[in-house]
Amino acid sequence: MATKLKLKFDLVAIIRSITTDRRKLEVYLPLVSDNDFKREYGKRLIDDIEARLDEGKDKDGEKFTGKAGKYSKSYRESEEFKFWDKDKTVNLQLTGQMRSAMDVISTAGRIVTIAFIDQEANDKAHGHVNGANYLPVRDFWGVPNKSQKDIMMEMIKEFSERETILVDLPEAVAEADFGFEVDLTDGE
Amino acid sequence: MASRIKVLGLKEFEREYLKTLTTTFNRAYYLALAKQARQLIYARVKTGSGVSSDEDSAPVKTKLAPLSPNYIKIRSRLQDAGRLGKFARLGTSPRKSNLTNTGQMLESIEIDDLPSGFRLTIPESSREDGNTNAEVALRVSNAGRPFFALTDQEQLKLFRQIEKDVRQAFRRLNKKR
Repeated sequence: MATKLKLKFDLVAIIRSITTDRRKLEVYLPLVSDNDFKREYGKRLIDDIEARLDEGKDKDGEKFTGKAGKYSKSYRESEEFKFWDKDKTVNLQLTGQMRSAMDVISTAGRIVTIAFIDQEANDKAHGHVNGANYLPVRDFWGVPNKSQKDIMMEMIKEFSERETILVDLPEAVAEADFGFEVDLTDGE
Repeated sequence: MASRIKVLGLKEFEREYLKTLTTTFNRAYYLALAKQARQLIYARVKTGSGVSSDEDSAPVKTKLAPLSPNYIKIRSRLQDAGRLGKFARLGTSPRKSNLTNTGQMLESIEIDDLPSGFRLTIPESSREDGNTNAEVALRVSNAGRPFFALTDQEQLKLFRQIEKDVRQAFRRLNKKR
């Protein structure tokens, strides 16, 4: 049984690396107490890892190269390869079960943690990340800083819009194009 | 100062979200998912795995029991006669325990359209040997090689696929807004 692979992301640190502007931080940082926000952020990090894998890239966005850049001839000619209808891209996906097992396992405090929820999947991933059974290292387990920031900004935009509507309803309604109407008549 | 605020148009908002859901999760989507489920079972069995037979817990992937020496001999003869895996898209070998003799049973898995999803069935279709595919499936399952179920990991894979598609659909909608 391999060591549990975990990726931890400190959301406050990521936000502070995006901006030092106090006014912006006052808007951005409260989002870190929203569990939906944190969970969705984690999910998008997983999407990001998967998108890189689909292109045969490692955790830094670099193509797997050398021995790691292609599957061995014997593997390509194996029954498994045929039965699972696999293409030649090194995307660490045969049955897809390892990749499906990536999930957000914790959103405690300011930290979002991603891990594998299945031990077998964790062990497979551990083998890829560290190299095992004479297989080359294919370290896909990580998210580049730039992606962490881009995803954070994308989400801040989406969640802040929502926040504006809830906190400052009349102004938000005036700008919204999906038809809120506000009745501002006095008294009962 | 207003004493009353009415928020209208939520129905329209709801309609837009429902429309997104129904256009994403249509019959074509169910069919694609069903095909994926069928492929998961097909590939698992072809690579030599069935499912656990404990009905009290979610099925897990288990190795299919090995073939007996006698049966391997019979399969070798079938192979010499060009009949081993005759109907299979993807083959087998005499020693491989993967429920592929002629290949008819695994190739026969059908998809039924249900109002709320889909169903996979091994039909009562007839075979060269006079049995039906459903009979053969039942026989091999009862004889210690259960296979026709989605394992916990396979269910997770399908669930993840649906989850991802839901999230993408709503993200598209949010961008439209």
